[in-house]
Amino acid sequence: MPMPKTRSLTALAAGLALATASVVGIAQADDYYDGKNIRMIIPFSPGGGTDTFGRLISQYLGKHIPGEPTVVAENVTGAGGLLGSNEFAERVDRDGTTLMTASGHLNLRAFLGLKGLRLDLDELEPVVAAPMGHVTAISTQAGIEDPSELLEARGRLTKGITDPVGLLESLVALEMFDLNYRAVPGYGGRGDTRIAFERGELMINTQSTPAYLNSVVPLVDEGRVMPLYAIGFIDADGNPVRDPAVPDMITAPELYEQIHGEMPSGTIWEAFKVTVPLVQNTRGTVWAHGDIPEEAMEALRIGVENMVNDPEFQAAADNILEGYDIMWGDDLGQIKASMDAASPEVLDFLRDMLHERFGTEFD
Amino acid sequence: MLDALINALWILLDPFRLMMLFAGVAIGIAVGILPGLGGLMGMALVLPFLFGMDAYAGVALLIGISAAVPSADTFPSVLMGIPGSSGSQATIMDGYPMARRGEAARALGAAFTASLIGGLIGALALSAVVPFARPLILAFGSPELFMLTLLGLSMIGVLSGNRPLKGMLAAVAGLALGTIGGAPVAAEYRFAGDFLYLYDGLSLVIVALGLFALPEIIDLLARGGAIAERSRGLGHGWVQGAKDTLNHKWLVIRHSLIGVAIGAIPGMGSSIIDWVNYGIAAQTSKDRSQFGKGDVRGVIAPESANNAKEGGVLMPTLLFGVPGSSAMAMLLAALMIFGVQPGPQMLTRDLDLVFVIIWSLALANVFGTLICLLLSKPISRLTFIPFQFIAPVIIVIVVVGAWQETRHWADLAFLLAFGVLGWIMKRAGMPRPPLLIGFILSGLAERYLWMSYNLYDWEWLTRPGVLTIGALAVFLVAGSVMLKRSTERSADALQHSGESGDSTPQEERS
Amino acid sequence: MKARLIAALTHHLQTPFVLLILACLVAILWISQGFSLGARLFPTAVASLGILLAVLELGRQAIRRGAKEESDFSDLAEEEETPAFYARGLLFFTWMAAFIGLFFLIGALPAAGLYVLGFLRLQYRSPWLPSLALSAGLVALLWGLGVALQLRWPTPLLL
Repeated sequence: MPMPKTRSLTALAAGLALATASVVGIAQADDYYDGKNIRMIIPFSPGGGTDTFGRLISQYLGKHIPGEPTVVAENVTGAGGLLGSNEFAERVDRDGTTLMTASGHLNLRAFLGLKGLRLDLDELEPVVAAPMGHVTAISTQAGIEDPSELLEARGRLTKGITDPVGLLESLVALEMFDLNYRAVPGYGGRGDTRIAFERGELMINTQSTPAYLNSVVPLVDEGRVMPLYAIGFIDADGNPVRDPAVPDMITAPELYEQIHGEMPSGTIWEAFKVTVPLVQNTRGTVWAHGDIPEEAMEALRIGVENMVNDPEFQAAADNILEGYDIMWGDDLGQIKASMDAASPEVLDFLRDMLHERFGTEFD
Repeated sequence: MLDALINALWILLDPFRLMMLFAGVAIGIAVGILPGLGGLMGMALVLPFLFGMDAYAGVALLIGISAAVPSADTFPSVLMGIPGSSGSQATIMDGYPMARRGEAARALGAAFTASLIGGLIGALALSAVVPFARPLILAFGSPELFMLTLLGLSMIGVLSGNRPLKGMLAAVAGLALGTIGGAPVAAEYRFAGDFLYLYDGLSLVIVALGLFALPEIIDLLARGGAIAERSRGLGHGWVQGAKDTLNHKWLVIRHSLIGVAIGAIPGMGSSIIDWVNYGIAAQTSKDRSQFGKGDVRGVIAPESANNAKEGGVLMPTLLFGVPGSSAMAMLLAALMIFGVQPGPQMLTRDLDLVFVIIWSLALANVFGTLICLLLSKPISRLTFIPFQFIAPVIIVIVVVGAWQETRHWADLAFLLAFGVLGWIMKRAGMPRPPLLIGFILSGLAERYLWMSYNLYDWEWLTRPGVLTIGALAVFLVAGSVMLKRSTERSADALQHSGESGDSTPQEERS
Repeated sequence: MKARLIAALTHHLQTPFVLLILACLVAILWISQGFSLGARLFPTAVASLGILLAVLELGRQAIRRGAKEESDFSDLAEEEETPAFYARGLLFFTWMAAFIGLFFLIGALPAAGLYVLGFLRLQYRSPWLPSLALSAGLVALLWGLGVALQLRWPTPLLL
């Protein structure tokens, strides 16, 4: 009978077409990057943490992407990452042959719309990222013996400011506690604030957790300094999660609860919940344009998956990631999810705070 | 300790690691000789290769580069008056006049011998002091750093030729130029408008190249002839230079130590080191009439300091993980790749690596300066070739090097603009070195002044360190003025008894 | 007449130059007042000091009428600072600017080759052999350096 025959023929044809398409799709993903080079823009100077992460990825990603393209890292420096970011956002072809390594703080700048930065995270897709936690410590000269006495700290609570957006998570935490701190701008980098902290010039200091463990813990042992809290991470439900590198250290929200008897609330808490996930992949995020061909995106995903499972990469990454795990595949969803969860009020609050206290300007 | 030191030497003497050391030295020399490029570029170049290497080899490679650059960038300074990367800048003051007199080989010989000894002193200082360096480094807070910038600015008198007022004006203009870009303590991008390129301010490399290199080239072309104004037997040129340095061994030692000391202070950067050393050498010399005209001491002092500083900048880098110079930032990245954590525990946990670093520094200095000495004779022959053959090559290299900065067209626009400015300054009799010093110190001075105030209100003025450095600066300036007066008096006396000064014959114009 | 004018301008360049610096400093002082406190304090102090120094220097120059003074370390000999000298300076700057223009238009290596060749041939009438040799040598050197040091070349606007 004609009907079933046509139907089965159609079904067969459809099935064949689908099969061919997927095979062709995979085949295309396989040779999309064949013979191509990938340019990895790093908007920072060589030698920094983000640069080292970007170079790590550049070193290993290429050979795991089907087609084995060569990935070349290129530092495009200037204006605190703006020049490189703008080039990536506006002046390169969107065909998957250019990637960019951003730091978590650069992401934050893009997200808040810093003046002059034309990077729009909504147009981008994360390829691979690496987290890093932060720890805040206080000098014992402030006269407190336990973090829960934080609000009774004495003296001029100087905190070194390098670049306000670059320290946003620590500033938001301090605001959350409503601590009266005195900002001292002018420091060139976190390393400089760490030396000043050790010298006794600064009273409060936030460092990345690896730097804390390495350089601040000896001061703790000497009794000159006391850890206050880890900034920690925020999970998908908005609950604080302990920093895996310092699991015994109380996180900022938990300390708040300890002091005030309840979890923080209000706009500042929302701001904290937005800032922390965006910054928690501070070591680096590798971005690709969102509108590159599907085969390219697929090839990149396969490349990352293979790279992460490569023992050689794991050994090299161990040193550079300093105890944290690579974020890839589905884990990367958190980044976009936390961006989407941020309400306009929270963003305005953050922008106003930065503008009033530090004069930062936004578009 | 001693057996760790010897053990480290054995570790380094592995053929592959030695090869890496040599490779580093070769790269450093190549990158140092070509004006506009810098040690940082050389180090960034080899960064991908570090991923597969063992820590000792990788460190040898990087130290090889960073130790060879301050030696090799003497070539453009002496031969052409082109300040090298950020190292051999002050060497132009006396090295270039010596080359103009036909004494290029002598200047180079003196410079490299000074570099050799200076570098070794730097390595020695590093190994001797590093166990005790932490408290010393911590002693320098923002107020002390501000006083150090003032000390740097006090050198202007000696760099202004005979007209201190012009020098001061140039220095203040330099300070003003340095304010372009992001303000250190406010989120304002001054004088930049919407031009993103200027957000970081003007680039030191481009200002230095434009201000010093281009006018020299143009003037030499306009005058015609070769770099050296008159022929001299090359003969024992560099040997004479080496002898000069050995005759001034106390000068070498003193300035090497100053170089190490300033390099060890994090937050000063390394660009100012050879200017300060030149200044101190000039200020404390009895007869400083020849400084700026080809006094070999004006080459020896900055060159020893220049190489010695590499030992100094390693101290905050290794002990604190805070880079003492931009090249050191690369070293830190490399240490991260090798899984080594900088910090005080390096002296216990990674002591052998620390000593390998020190040995690499010493050996790289020896190899680097020896190779440079060998190259000095053939290369100084260039000073006798008619300049029209050299000029276009140098211009091309300078332009290519300057463009590598940020690969923005504005790099070259500003290069040309500063070239014109420098040329006009020569015609208008305005000294250029004070402008450069003001420019270098502007950001530092402003930053530390604000921070001192924000941290300590006005009490910072009464700190012992501040008073000491201030007194030192006053002492140096006053002392140099008095020395100059007494020299002028005796020179006047001499002049009354005969003719002095030389006149140069009119050159052939091509 | 024209020669006199040029001579007057070029002979006494030091005063106009100080005036130029003075103008720039006044501009800096003016613009700085629009910044926030943290950003304007230092430029204001510096510019004010500079203006004072410039005025003093102008006064000093007025008193010591027009004597040309040596500038800095590279002024060894009495240079013939004639208008011809200035003109040649301008000429060679133009050559340099031309190279930079070519650099962006046709790319680094072709520009370098053309510049050296053109400069030697047109300006100095050097024989073909050394000119070509030097030009080719430089291009080869640049290419080698480009590979060895991973230098970046600009994308040519024209080709």
